[in-house]
Amino acid sequence: MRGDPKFSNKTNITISVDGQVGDEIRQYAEKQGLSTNSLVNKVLKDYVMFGKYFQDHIPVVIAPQVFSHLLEEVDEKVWIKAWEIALMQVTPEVFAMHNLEPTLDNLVRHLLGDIGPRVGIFDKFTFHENEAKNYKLMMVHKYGIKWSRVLATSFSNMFVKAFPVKVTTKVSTNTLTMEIHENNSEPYNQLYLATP
Amino acid sequence: MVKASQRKKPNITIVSDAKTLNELKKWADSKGLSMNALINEVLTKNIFFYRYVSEHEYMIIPSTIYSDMIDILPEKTLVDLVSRTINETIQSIFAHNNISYTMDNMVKFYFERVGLWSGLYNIFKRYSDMSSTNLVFEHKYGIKWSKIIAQSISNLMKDTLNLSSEHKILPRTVILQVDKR
Repeated sequence: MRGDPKFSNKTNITISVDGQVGDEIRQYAEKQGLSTNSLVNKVLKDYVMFGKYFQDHIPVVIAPQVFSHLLEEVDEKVWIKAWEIALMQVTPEVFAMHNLEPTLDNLVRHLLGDIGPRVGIFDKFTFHENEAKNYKLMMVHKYGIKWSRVLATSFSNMFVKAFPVKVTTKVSTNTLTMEIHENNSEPYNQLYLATP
Repeated sequence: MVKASQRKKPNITIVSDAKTLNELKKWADSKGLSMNALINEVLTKNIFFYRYVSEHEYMIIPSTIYSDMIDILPEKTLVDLVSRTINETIQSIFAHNNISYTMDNMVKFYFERVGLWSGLYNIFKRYSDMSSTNLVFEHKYGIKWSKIIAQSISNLMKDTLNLSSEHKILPRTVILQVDKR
């Protein structure tokens, strides 16, 4: 990270790589305009972030056209319910795995910012936070208005169940915007994000 | 020091942050692997699978959601979707890595890697007898998924290797007996 001490936090490591994999890594790095070092580091960091979770939970990897088909065929209410249950299971596990405090800020930055685009539920995520700790989030995807509504409802419900906040959403074909405002009159459901 | 010409595996030296390396060390220890073996495993998975997933913008969904979708959708629809996905994935990965279509390569590059990493099944085993190759897939999605896997992989064997197969289906296991030529 920029600003981190230059030497105390960095370590040299030499690895002996299987021939074809080494060649592929070098070629892929070149194609991406990265050094081999940068690419290997990116791959290792992604593994630290997701690898163990994937190893333990074995999620399913599906092609965009298959996902579109599933989305079209299955009722919106079923999708929302399924995502709400999945978020309730996945979120505390992700926080525990990365030793993160279950805060609104971590939910926005890590669950949505780091993980969301990497698992493909949206392609682009941006957020702004103002001084009053209110958030404005924007997610862009390619799956149409039904997916915007599924994400809007399931994420809103997650935020409202987990924190004393009010959430307003606006959906369009491929974009979802969400505003999160603190609402201290509501009780804080600490159990929702409790470590499993 | 081994001379470069004598090395079977080339070395890559990287500079990484201590936190990432510490995490990797912990996981390598927990799996009973050396750091080198774990990093090779991670890089292999990336090159043969996650690169493809990322380039083709695949979606990674929790297994609980997938389980719901299997319950809801008709079996025929799922067989079509899974067959199409497996075929397209294999064609792309085999072409990209210049891999020829043989049973050994299908096992090494698809069943032991991509199929497993895609979450289609959790465990894969292969054993052979005189007349057939037996492919065993274990998963967690119930009998309907066993039927879907059996049909989709039978289709794959026929389409890519022109091999006939018979299958035995259990709630969490599929045994596919593929004829040898």
